[in-house]
Amino acid sequence: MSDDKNLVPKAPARRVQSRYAGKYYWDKTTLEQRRRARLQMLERENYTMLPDFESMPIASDVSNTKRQGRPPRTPSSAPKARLSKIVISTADEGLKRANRKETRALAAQKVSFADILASETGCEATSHSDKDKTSPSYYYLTCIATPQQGSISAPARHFCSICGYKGLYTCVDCGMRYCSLPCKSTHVDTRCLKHVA
Amino acid sequence: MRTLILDNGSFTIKAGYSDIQQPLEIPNTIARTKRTKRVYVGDLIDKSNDLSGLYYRSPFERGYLVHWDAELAVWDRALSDDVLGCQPEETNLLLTEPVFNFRRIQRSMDEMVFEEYGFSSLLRASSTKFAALGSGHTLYGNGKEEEAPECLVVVDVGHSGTYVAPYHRGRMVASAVRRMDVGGRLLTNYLKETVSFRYWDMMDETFIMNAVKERCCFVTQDFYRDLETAHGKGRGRLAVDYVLPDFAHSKTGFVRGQEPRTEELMRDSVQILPLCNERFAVPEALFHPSDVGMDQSGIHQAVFQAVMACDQRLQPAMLANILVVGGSANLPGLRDRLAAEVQALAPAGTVRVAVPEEHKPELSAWMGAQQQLHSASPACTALDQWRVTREKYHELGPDRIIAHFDRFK
Repeated sequence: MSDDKNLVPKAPARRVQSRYAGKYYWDKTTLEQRRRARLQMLERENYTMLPDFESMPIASDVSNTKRQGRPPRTPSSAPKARLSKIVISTADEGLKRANRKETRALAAQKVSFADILASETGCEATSHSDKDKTSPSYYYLTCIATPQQGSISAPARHFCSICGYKGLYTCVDCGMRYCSLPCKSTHVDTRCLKHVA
Repeated sequence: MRTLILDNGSFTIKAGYSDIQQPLEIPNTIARTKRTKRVYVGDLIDKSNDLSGLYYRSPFERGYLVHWDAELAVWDRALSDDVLGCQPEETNLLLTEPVFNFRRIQRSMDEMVFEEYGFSSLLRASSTKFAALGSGHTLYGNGKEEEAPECLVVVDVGHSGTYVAPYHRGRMVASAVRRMDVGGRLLTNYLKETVSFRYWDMMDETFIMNAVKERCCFVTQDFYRDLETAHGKGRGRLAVDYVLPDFAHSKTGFVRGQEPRTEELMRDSVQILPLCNERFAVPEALFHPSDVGMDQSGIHQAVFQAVMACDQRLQPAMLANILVVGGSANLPGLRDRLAAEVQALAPAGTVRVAVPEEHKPELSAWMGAQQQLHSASPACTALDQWRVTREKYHELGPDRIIAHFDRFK
């Protein structure tokens, strides 16, 4: 009857109702987000981010030859100030380079790889003198070996998150894989993201 | 006037003068220890005993030299009297760059070499080019120096990623180069992630996990067979216990059973990392990046695609001369597995894969450059004509120098 329809709440759009009433499998968008986040973590140089350390300027200090690797001592009169720059002491006789103003400006720039790639592709779009040669950034973007280019790609393999064997089954609550019932019970006891996270 | 060969990699710098046998390997990062919060540039990290939780500040991002402040600090350390003792005004420099280096970075590199450091001359090329120049010895060598073959595929399995670069008559076939983003760094992070989930939390221990990867991991010839063995009764053959370091006695830890004084070194409080299927499942990411969720082809498919993108008449020769260089080429079993996989993709051709044995694969670019400078064959004296002196740099300007090095590729 039509009244019943208004009483029963509608499930949120991203849940996919399966045969098992009340339970659901993770939908594609969540899985895709998880995959991308995991891939980004795998490509990082460090796991924990230390933004303070990353943004500290590096100064080449020629005079502090005895203090290799140690942060400079703050004067006793000043309060304990935070380290403001990394002091690298160089060779005993001094820098082998000119330490020009342009170099210091270049070193102080905070560019990321994405900025440089964007500026290279931007430049190429506007330059008209290199029509016969293709630029490195063009080659960089197009030289990725993808499965679509003429090779047959098998579907992705999954591994049990507990022991590493074939991950044939998926946990209905959190979407992690397991291979057998013993691994499943370990998973549910200790690692299921739904209960632990 | 001496020549300094500096292979500027994203993990280590391999540097040395052309008249010595082996280059020095200097980590190309600035490292900070966790507990004592000290900062070490380049190879100074060896002086520290506290290697846990090292934080790396690398000049490279995705394989490209982006952060000059860190790179200048490392180069200053490398050229200092403690390490190389170089006088730039009286030195010729051979420098490597990534394949497809960006113009902006090339300009900065040339500027640093000539105007900042003041080197007497420069020859800048990609590391695969130098490896290709010296490849004759690995592919055909019987102890005497051989010229590089006419068609050659260089597979550089490095820290940031893998490049497959075909060379024809010494020149790179740019349109046939293929790249995949699985490299040493991703393998180490994959191992860290796996081990942290199953045993101990090692997400911050890049240095230790790198050592574990180098000592315990190998490439399997038959993945499913080894997976069954690791799961079943034959575990003992594949399982390995890695003793994690307590920094009083060892810096990187060791594999139980491989150190001669193992029983003495084993204390009650040691932490053991039991590795079985991780040993070969982690390097599988090279062949199946979909294992880590990456939508790219495996290294065997990348090699195949690169060869197929070359002229049809060159393809059989390309397949027969595949050279694997780079740090991850040290993985045992990589050569045989790659040969078998590429052969399966190209059944009609004869596939031959070579990994350098006379030196470590990560030194191939350096060794290739050194061999060229010392060889008597006519091809190498050509290196002299590609060198650019400081006077010429000032005369012609940076853009024409970049175009000049482009022709050397």
